[in-house]
Amino acid sequence: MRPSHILSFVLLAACAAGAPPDRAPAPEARPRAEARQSETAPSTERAPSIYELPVGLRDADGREIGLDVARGGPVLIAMFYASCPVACPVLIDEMKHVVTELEPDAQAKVRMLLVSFDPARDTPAVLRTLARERGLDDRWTVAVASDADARALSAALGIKYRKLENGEFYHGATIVVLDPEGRPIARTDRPGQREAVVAALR
Amino acid sequence: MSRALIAVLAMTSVAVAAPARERVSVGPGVYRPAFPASPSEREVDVAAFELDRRPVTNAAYLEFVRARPEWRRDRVKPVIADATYLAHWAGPEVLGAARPNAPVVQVSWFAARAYCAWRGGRLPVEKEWELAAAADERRRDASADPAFQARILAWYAELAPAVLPDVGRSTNRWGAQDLHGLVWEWVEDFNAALVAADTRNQDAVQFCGGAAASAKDAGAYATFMRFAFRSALEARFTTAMLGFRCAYDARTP
Repeated sequence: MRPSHILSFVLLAACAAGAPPDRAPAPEARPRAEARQSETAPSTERAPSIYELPVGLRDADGREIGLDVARGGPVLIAMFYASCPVACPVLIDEMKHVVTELEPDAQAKVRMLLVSFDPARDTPAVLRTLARERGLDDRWTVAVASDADARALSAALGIKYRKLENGEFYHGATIVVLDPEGRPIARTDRPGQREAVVAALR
Repeated sequence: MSRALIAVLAMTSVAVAAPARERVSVGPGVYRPAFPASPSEREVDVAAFELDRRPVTNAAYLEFVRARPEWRRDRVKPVIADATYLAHWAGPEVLGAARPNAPVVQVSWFAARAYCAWRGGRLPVEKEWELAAAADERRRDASADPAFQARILAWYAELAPAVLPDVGRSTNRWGAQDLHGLVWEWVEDFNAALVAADTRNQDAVQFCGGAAASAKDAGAYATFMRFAFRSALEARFTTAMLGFRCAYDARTP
C-alpha cells in the first residue's frame, strides 16, 4: 500500500493524543487542508463562546441552570462524576490549587463550575453531599447534565470521556478557563501542570 | 394520452421511486474492540438498533436546512460549526456542483446530531457503528479477514475525489450501504476514543507504540485509524470527507 496523506495525518494525530492537534486530520485533498489551517490559525481566531451551546444543567439544589451561570467573570470548568474514586478528587484538588495560586482580587473573581456526566447516579442530593464533603464554597457550582448535553459540552470543551460497560468512566483530568463571555482561553489536561491556567486568570 | 401509456408511466415511476428500505436493523451482536478501553470491554454487547441504510445525502440535508434555517451556513453559530460548514454547496440553500444523492459532508458533529434529532433519531454510538461496519457483503463479522481490511485501508489511502459520487455503492450483510469506501462518519461518542491512554497516564508515544505492537490481528489497523481520526476531531470541525448517518432505538416488538 502506498503511503498517503491520510495515513500520516491520522497517525500523527493519534501520537499527539497528549496534546491534541489544532485541526482535524481531515481526510481530504491537501490544498483544502492548507487553506483551512491558514484561515483558522489560533492566533487569528478566538474560540467561540460555549455559552451559545444549547446545553442545560441541573444544580445541586435541583434547579435548572444554564452553562452561563457565572457569565461576566472568569470561570474554571471541569467535568467529573461524583462516585469517581481517584481522578475526580484529584481534579477538584487541582482546581483548588489553581485558586490558591491567584492574587486575592483574582481569587475573589473566579468561579468554579463542575459538571457531572453521570446523570444516572449524580442526583442533586449526591452533588450536595459532594460539595459539603469537599468543602466547596459558594464560588463553586456543582451540576449535572443529561447524557446528550454532557456529550455536547465535553465535545465543545475538548474533554474526552468514555462510559464503560460497568458504569464507571474513563476520563481525562482537564480543566478549562473560560473568559467572562464563555470563550475557552486556557486549559490543562494533566494534574500538576497548571501554569497556563493560573496565568490566564491573573 | 392513452390509458396504456399512463399505466406504463405509472409503473415506471413506481419502479423508479420505489425506495430501498430507508433503515436497516442491525444487531444484537457482540463488538470486540481492537483496542479495549478496559479489560471489561473486550467483548461489548450491542443491543439491536436501526441504522440509516445510507449516509445522509446533500438533498436530505438541504431539506433539514430549509426546515431549520438556523442551520444555514450563513446563520450557524461558530461554536456549533467551523468556517467550512457546508462550504461545498454553492449557496446557503443551493447545492451547486454537490450532487443531491452524494453524501453530505462539511458538517459538524453538532449539525449531524441536530439533523438526526429532527428525523426522530440520533447519531449511532461508536460500538453500534463499528458493529455494523464489521460486516462485509456476506458475513456479519468480516473484521478478521485480511482481504476485507485491505479494501478498507486501500480506501483510506485514496485522496478525496473533487466531487463525491452518489450513495449506494456497496451493501453489507446488514443491508447497510457505504459504511466503507465513500465518506467517514460521525459517531455520538467520537470523543470517547483513546481516553484510556489519558487516564492511565501513559505517555502518548508509548500508547502509539503499544497500540501498534498489539495490533496483531488484521482488523486492528483499520480500526485504529478510525479511533485515531475520531480522537483528533472536535465537535465543530467540518471536513470534505466526513459525513454521517442516523441511528434509531429498535422499535419494541
